[in-house]
Amino acid sequence: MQIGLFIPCLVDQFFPQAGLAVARILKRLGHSVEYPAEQTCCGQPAFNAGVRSEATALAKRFVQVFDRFEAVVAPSGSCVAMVRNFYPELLDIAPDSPFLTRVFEFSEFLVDRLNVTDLGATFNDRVTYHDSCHLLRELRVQEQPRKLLRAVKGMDFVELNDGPTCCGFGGVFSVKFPEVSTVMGEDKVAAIERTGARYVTAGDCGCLMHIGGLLTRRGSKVRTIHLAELLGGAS
Amino acid sequence: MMRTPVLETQRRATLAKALNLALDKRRQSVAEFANWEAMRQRAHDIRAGVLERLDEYLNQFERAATANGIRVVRVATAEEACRYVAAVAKRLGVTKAVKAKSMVTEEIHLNRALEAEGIRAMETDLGEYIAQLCGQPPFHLTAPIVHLSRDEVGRILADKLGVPFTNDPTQLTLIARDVMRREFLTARLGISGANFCIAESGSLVLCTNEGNGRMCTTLPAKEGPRVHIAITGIEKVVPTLKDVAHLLRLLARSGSGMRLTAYTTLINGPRKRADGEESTGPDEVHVLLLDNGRREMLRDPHLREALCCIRCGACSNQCPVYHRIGGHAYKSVYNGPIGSVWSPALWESEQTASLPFDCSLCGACADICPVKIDIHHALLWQRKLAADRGRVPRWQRLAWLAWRVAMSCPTLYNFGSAVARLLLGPAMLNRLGKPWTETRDLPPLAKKTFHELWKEQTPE
Repeated sequence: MQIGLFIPCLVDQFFPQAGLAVARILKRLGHSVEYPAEQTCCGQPAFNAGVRSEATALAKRFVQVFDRFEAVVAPSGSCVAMVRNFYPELLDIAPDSPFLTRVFEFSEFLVDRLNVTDLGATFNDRVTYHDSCHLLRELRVQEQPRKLLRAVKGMDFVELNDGPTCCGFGGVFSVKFPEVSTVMGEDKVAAIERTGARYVTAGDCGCLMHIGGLLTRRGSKVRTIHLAELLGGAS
Repeated sequence: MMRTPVLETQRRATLAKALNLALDKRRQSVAEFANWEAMRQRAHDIRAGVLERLDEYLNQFERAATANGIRVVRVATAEEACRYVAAVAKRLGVTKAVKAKSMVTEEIHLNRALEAEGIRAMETDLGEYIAQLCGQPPFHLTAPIVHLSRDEVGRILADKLGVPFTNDPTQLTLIARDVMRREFLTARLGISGANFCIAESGSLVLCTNEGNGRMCTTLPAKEGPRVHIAITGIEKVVPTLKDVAHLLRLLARSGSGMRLTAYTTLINGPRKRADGEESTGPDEVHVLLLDNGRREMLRDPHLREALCCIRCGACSNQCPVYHRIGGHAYKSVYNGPIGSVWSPALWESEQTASLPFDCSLCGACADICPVKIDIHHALLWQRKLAADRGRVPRWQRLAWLAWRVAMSCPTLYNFGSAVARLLLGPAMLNRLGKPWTETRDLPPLAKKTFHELWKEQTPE
């Protein structure tokens, strides 16, 4: 399959390893992976700020850049939710328009589209999974990452048992309302630590950046790792 | 930058305990239905169907209620509603009224308006009564003092009523009952809201837990004419009793986890003359159907759905932000997630326009909503309306414009990330990222962007 890699800004700037892991896994499964270098941002930050005209300009651009692929895959539930759930309104297109049905978050692409759950990965540690809100509630992706994680050899997978509730990131929310965001994050981190896991994984780098920032600030030994990196292992 | 304060730790714990208890009970009572999701959908369809033909149902309700002997009055604004109530009180010659809990009367600030006319409106829902004693607005749509501990309630009653301190709920209730009973037995004006108005029968439905609703609407006083005024929003009309029965299954379960509120009162009109001396009920029943901005919401397809709300409070119980900031932080009668949709619609201001932004867009509110309102998407729409109205500062608009220009041009974007890597060392990044870095570490920018790494790995 001819797959277009959609690498959100945060991954591009802070967590390129997560993007490389996605490419590695998809290639290993025998697919042709291309990164259209002219891509930038899906427009979500402006959309969430209420400035829809600026978001619309980028949405149009996004469709132009990615329209030629059989599938578009991103290591982010949030950015895929932006495309699939909010582009219809922004671009006045049908929610089931062919382009939108070809855009996938990484874990749902593997499980739902490729029917793959076992990537042959090994990870010898206790791991918990954080449901990022947009992956869970916008895209309704809940079981897919768990199926992938349960297939990992050597891993002790534990559930977080906190709702699932928001980690307090919320994009601009985290800097616009830092106190509220931090308290939400601290409760999340406490729940993570209660599981005794050494790693917390998720499908969104925004959440991981927030959770990770709180973990290291309190000197916690727990580390964050993007789902794709955990599953992709070293190259 | 306006920063919303977080409740202090102890208050947050008290609040979380109460809200989580309600959520636990909700989970149990909802689990009684295998088809809960279908029930939510049906509830949504009932409410959305009403909004599609609102005037038809309002007219039907008005005809049926009038035939029952109820006086139905359409009021456009809060002032109009308050004036009407004050005029009835003056006609009756009363200087006090007893009130059942009603968010619409909070919305129109009825108590304050009546007080200005020399009429004292006494809240008789225990929580609302205590809130009134402290001069505080309700903290939550359905639980006005959910943030207070038993000790605090005991101290308030001791303080304001001069009774000995106790923190025993039964004793506290008995104290309040003593005070209220005197009022109930002499009140000739009772004020309530209405959870639903049934179009087919012209009846009012009132859901309460303490029996005070019945006292306020039946008015057992022996002397003089007695009047019950119900004030409710135009959106509260529901076609049939059968529809109400369905909504009742969801209402209390969603809010408090109870199967039903302890009292569900159906009011079909005033006391009939033929009923004779012993019959109960007021001599007159008035229903005020309030617009106050609702028709404006109805005209906006993105806000219309918010009018489906049946005021169960579940979205607040579930909201991670509400848990941390509490109801008073919203500085609006309607608080919590659904309140942040309603408030800017009813009272557009700088303060209310900021409410939809104080949300991480997690969407938990929409998932718990028994009538399936897409609350967080409505909040996104309110953000757009705020920007359209110029509530997003000019410099921010310009920043977004610049951001879009950069993001529309890969060369500019890549040039920007290269410059950032040159100039922004960890220390600089820490300083620039201040609101973030005060409490959280910021990872360093990757040495090379994905863009660069990909280019290295896949030579043309």
